[in-house]
Amino acid sequence: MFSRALQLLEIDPELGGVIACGFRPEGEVPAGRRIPPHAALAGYRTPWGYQPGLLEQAGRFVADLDLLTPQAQAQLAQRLDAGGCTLVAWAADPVWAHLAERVAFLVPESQHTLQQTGKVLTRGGAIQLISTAAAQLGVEGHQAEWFTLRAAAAIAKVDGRRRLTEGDVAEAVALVLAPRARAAAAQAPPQPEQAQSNRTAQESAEAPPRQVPMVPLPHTRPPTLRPTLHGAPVRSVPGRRRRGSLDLPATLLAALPWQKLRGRDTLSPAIRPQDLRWHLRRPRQGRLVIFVVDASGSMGARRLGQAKGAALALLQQAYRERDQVALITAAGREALLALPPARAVEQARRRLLALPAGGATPLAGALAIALELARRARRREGRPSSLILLSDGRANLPHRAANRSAIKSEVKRICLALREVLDSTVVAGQPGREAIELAHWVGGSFQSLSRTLSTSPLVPNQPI
Amino acid sequence: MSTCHFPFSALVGQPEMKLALLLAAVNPDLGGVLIMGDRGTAKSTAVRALARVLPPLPDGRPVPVVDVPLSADLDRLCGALDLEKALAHGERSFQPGLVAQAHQGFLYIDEVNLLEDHLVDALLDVAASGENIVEREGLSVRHPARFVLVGSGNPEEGELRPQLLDRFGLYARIRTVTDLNERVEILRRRDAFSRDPSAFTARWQAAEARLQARLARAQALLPQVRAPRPALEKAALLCLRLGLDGHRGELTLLRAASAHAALAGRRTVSLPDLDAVAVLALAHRLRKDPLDESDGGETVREVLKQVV
Repeated sequence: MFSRALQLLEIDPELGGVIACGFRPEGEVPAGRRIPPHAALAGYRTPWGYQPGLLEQAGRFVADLDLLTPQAQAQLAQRLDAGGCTLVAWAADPVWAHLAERVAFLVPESQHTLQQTGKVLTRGGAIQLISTAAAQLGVEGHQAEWFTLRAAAAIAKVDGRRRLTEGDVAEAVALVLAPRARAAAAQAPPQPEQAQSNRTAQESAEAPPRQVPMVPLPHTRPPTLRPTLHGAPVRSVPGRRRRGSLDLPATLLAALPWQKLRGRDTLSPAIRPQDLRWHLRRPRQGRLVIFVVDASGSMGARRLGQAKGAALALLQQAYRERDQVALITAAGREALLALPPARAVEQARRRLLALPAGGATPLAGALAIALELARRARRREGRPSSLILLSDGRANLPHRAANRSAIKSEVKRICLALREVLDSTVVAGQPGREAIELAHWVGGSFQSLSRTLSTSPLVPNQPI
Repeated sequence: MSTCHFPFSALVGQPEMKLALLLAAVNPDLGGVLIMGDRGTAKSTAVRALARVLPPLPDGRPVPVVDVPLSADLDRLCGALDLEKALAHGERSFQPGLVAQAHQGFLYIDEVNLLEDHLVDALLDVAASGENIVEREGLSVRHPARFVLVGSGNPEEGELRPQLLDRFGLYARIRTVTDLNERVEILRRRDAFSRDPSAFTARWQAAEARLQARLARAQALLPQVRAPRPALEKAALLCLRLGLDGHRGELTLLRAASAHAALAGRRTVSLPDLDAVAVLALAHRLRKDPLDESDGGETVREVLKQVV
């Protein structure tokens, strides 16, 4: 299927591109301009003129989307709009929608194409078929239908036929529309009747109650200015070594008064390391909010429901403030990074709702993941992190510690490390010695989950 | 090249978006249009098509549409010290940015919710004042920059912060067309256009000319449009009932209604004018429950029915 899509793309570059979803097409990737992470995608000014960016070229771009930041993917999407290029890419995570919209083929793993011909169609007949299929599959937008028509035309061309057949349209629908229908179906909310009948008493008790406890999102300190590459430049600082981006005008202004002494004039100034000025930036808006949800047996169904409700409300709030969110679940045998840091609140919401309960509490493991995420966010993007821990603090599964008696000291050790990296923390749970102790270690505040507020603005007014 | 653009009149469906763009074209002081909705629903095509229909500028140039790349920084948007001139000739001169290029035209930001907030803020400032002021690096420049800011995005990626949302004049929701006949028509027209652009545009030429005449007439008529007392009262009452903060809502509502009257060739704002634009001008200003997935449009329509 992947190679068929490549073949069609070759025939009609207007089809935008091919993205392999969930697998890496080894050996099938054609040659092209590889987009490495951290490449200068956009052009930039230098004293020696304009330096064009990677994306300003034409031809075929090849990328591993998992390595690219959302910003880079957005730039890639804009580049595809401009035309004159195609994209061949792969992604393990769900493909970011802005990019998916601009390529015809989202190829799932292991599907073979159907080869059939069938009745010859008029152009109008083909259009009717495609629109009907799109409407039935519930495909969003109208770009995909357009891609389908072009793909069908390309298929006919590959086979050396002038007129479209039913088989061409069927194959194009399978290649272009079908993968999008699945995405739409996955996003659709579950039918209430089905959900009701599948639910046991235990599960419905876990569903978030209408009255959710109010847990305030921790406050952030005003961000410190840093010499990074992202965010609004505020002012510049001198420095002989490279730190972030060069403030060229400021550098020139610093150099110009010295030109006489350096034996040069202002038309061809000599720039020395002491002249260099670097941008200090207010870090990119938004922090990383890490949710750790303890769904172990000790939390109990009712409390887990409360925790889910609180987490959902916080999730929306985090979204509105343009924060990134990550979700870590602690239940069963090991802690799980259920949602890697992203702005994908919808996904976080779905995974949170689907969270199973029961089992042991691998709290130390969950906290270790949180620590790693917070460190990475700070190192890579200068992004501050906040932790929201919904737990009763009763850890009973060790992370690396050899025996159970060491669990407590292990949790404490990770908490102390977290305290160094985190901007703020809230621990929310049933009041108890363990939970309060946890909040103390990690340097955060404790909120009781039992305090429910019916008039809170965070109360969802419809069942989720 | 001008024949190679999809005609505005040939766009199928999306009445909200089309009306919002037309109103903004008649009155650029409305404060920009935000188009939110499903992907692949001809957002950028519509903006480009509209610019083609508008009467050309006094100097004969077509109305410009400037795209904002997501990689743009403040220098690129608002202009900065011209480094090459500074280095090569020792001159301190101003290199104009995208807002200067967009003067008297459209500035289009696709995926506006991905542009950094401080940049959106800066653009809204310029759009609101109609003037770009640069005071840095020893430069002190001000130049007129009157443009219609059009932002588009998908709400699934996150709404704009309320502070930014409120500053856009009109807010149009767009949805995937669900009517099968309309879907077929969309695909049919797009196919016809791509197979023979010049024949397709020729077929729509008369409709485009009519639209152009209507827009030119409306632009000329707008300064004379007056709102009588009952219209003012209805606008105020509507905003009061909706519990809007500030008075930007009323102002935009009246301006949009005036533009609507001008489009219809009338000199007075009537109550139906207000009804027609109320959702566009007000829906995004309501205080929203973050988990409430319904949009403000319904609420505005409800209140509209009550206010007579």
